[in-house]
Amino acid sequence: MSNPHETAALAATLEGNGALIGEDEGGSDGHRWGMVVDADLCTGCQACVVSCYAENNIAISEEDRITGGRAKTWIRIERYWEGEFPHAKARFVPVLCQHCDNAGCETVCPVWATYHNDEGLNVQVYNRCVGTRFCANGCVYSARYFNFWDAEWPTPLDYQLNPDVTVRTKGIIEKCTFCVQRIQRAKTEANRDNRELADGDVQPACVQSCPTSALVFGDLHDAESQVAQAVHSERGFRLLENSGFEPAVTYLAKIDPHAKEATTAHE
Amino acid sequence: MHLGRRKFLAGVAGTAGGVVIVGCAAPERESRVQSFVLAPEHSLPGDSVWFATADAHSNVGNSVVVRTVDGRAKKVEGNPAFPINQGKTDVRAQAAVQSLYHPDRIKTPMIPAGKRGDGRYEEIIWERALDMLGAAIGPAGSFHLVTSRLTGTEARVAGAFADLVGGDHLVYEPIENGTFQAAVKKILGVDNTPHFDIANAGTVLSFGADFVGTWGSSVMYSQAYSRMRGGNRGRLTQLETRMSMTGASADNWIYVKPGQEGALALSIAQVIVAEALVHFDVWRDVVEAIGGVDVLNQYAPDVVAERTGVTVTTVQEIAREFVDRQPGVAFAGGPALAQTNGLDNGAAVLFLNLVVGNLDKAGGVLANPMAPAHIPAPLPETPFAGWRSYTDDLAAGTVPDVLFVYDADPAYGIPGNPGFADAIAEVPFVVGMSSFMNETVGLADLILPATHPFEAWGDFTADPGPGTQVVGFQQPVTTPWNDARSFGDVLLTLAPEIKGEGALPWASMHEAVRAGAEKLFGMEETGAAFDASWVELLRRGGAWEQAADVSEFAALPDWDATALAGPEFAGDAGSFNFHLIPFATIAIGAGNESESPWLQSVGDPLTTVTWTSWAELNPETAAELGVGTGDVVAIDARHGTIEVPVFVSPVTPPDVVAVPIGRGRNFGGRWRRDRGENIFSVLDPMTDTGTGSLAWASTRARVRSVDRKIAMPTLERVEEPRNDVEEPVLEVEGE
Repeated sequence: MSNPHETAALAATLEGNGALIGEDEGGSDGHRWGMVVDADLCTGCQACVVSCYAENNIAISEEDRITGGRAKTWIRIERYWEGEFPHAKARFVPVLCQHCDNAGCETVCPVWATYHNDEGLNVQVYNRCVGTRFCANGCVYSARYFNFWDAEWPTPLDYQLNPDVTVRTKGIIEKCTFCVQRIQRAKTEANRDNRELADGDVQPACVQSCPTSALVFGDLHDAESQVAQAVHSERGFRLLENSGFEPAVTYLAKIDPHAKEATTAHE
Repeated sequence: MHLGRRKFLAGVAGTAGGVVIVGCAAPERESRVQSFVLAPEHSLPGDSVWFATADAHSNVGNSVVVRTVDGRAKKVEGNPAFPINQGKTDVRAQAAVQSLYHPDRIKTPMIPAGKRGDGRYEEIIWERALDMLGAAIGPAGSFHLVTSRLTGTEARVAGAFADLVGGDHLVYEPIENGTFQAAVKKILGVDNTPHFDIANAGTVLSFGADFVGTWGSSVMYSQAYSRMRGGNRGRLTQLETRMSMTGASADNWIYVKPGQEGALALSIAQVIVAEALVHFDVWRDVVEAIGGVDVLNQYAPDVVAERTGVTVTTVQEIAREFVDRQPGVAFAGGPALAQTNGLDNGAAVLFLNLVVGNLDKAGGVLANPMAPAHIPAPLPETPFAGWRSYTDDLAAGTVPDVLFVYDADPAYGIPGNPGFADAIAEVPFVVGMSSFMNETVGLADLILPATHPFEAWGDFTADPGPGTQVVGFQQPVTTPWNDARSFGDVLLTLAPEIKGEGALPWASMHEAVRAGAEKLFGMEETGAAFDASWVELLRRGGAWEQAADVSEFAALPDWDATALAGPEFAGDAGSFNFHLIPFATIAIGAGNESESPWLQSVGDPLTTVTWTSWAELNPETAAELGVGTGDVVAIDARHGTIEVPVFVSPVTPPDVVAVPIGRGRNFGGRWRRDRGENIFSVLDPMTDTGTGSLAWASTRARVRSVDRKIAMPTLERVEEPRNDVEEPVLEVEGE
């Protein structure tokens, strides 16, 4: 463990000291990446899903792999029903790795392949992963995907692969990185231009494509950022909040003018 | 990595301008080995170069920027400067790189190795293919060109070529737009698509138009929807026969019996008039123009409630909210227009905008300028009735000497007998040009590989525009990895060989597109003086600042409401007790993009089903049939039977069976072939009486279990996941 941030994260995790790895953590340059998902704006259009496929070299989920329950989608749109015809409703919930501050996946990895970095990212180090899948079992969001097979990219399909993102081998876990390669690229560009990162400089692929801007990404430590302001919305809640995993993704409640009473989890 | 508008413009101006000019940084041929001492200018190994170009599949006019590295396209983003999609894309644009580098693209010209259509082909070189084409078309007595709804310069070149050789140009599209456009003409009096200003609307009444999914300019309208939900949060009421994606996002989702959308719209209008919700000065003349108050009164809610399936109270609430929350806008699409009374349904719905007087108002209906004549909007399709009679004529032996089909697949999508595939058996020479094999190209005597839009020049006028003229340009972002050529370039190569030098005024599509841009700015034949502007246009992806007069809406509608008839259905209600409602899905649309495995594996938003066809059934209906999700049922219609697995859906009406369009193909690569069923194969060739468009939602069917079950390729692993009110996954709040 040569990385001091990993050491700090590990120590904090072992000591149960959420403050060190949570929202108040400073980190090397003070970023704390987070996302807000406005469920009132998500139309279920799937642009985020395929944008993520293309950016992150996500393997093709063939039909038999989907029927076998092994589909791979770092971000997916879950659909929940309410009511019955003719008053039935369909609700869309985009689900991705929640980059939890108190992540169930991080504490169980025997080889520190997954850890919390100093900017709040739940990081997966592919070449450390030995494929125990403990982390996937520890994730209540089912946001971690095991590679049962090597990805196949019959030539020239491999021409499309993003050179900034490694193609993962079989036997390891992979998941949403908040497009860490885009964070690094934006930092490099800001450094080159001798300026600070500005709000909006970093946009994960899903956020960039979203036609309704239902997804907002940014630095929670920047009080002026769009995400930091949205996270304090009265509609804010977190998925499966009772799990206590302290996700970095905040959801904004769906608005339904006919909702007789708010379906809030904590009344 | 964020591509803000300012940054994008600054970026291309500062770093990549030269590359944008030349259109491509890749070596001329993939196979050429070249030292990087001679590297293409502005290209560094591993560095990204961004090109603005047209959205690969969109026929409404989106512009994208494509990230290329070492000459290969890697990622598509929306063009942040472009007024239509404003930096955003839909799901299909994101998969464009996959169709570009698809291993099963047609790689080289081919001829049948055996009998035509038996699936064995022999590769030939382009020179021989062009010789064959020239020899066939030159002396041909009759030449028929069949294309998809081409747009811009490509459409103009196709038309000019057809004229040059004395041929006919037919336009084929499986899901037609003609009924909508005809309704617009009747009610608004214009020949182009208006802009529905959803962003500023207080209420949106959408009759079957899946405007955040598969209808119209969905990326533009999705952003407008997002803005509508901000601020005072406008209301969306979706009235339709099967819940669409847009219906799932609506505040009010109302089931309307198939084909009764027009009656419901007039019922809403009747309430507005009868309750004097709007001052009579606003509606008096327009109501008089369609037949008067007496005609409207025939649609009073209590009179038509049984027909429409919508209660009196609900109609009154819709009407009152529509007026209370003005400005508002109403429009129709999808299955509402795919009926035998489709045109009148569309007209009745658009008429609602006149009743509340919201034309040319923010939040209402805005007029668009006509597209410049030399960069036309997508060509109107030949109505289905024309295709049906054309097919019958072919089958009867009235055949052209040469039939050239480009980017269209009538053999897949034309219902009725005889099928198009059988009908062209007697055509002496069939040419098929496409990026992928399809049902029609597979029957050709000469098969030509077409470029992907990322490899070719083109242009378009956004249709609909946002109330202003928006022109976009398409430039190659990479060189073809195979032996593909652009359709326009093939025609422009053939023209002088058949009719001599100067037969058409351009030598290449690049030249033709640039000439169109010059004309747009009144700089024809200024040569080098236009160079800087041309570069700038390509950097930005288009031009949208030029003033252009918008079409003028007619003062009064040219529509007689007494013409609104009830729908007719194929199959009697006794034997065929279900309405068969086909629908396009967000990922593969009408099937044109189904070659992409990413798009095949994207879950349908409402069902999460991937890769195959399915039949949506109401839970009670499914229980009566003794089937559940994954059980295979036979859907019998007058014209045939298909077998598909059931998806039990609580939003599906009890008398509806809904089946997606686009699958069930025999050609098109390993990820498209042999997946699901082709719903067109069982549809009745019914048409809208007003326009002749295919009434694809007017077929009745019966459903029966075949006692077989499959593992359903759904992304969700739980049957009927519910958002429990007591312990919800997703929190829901009132307004």
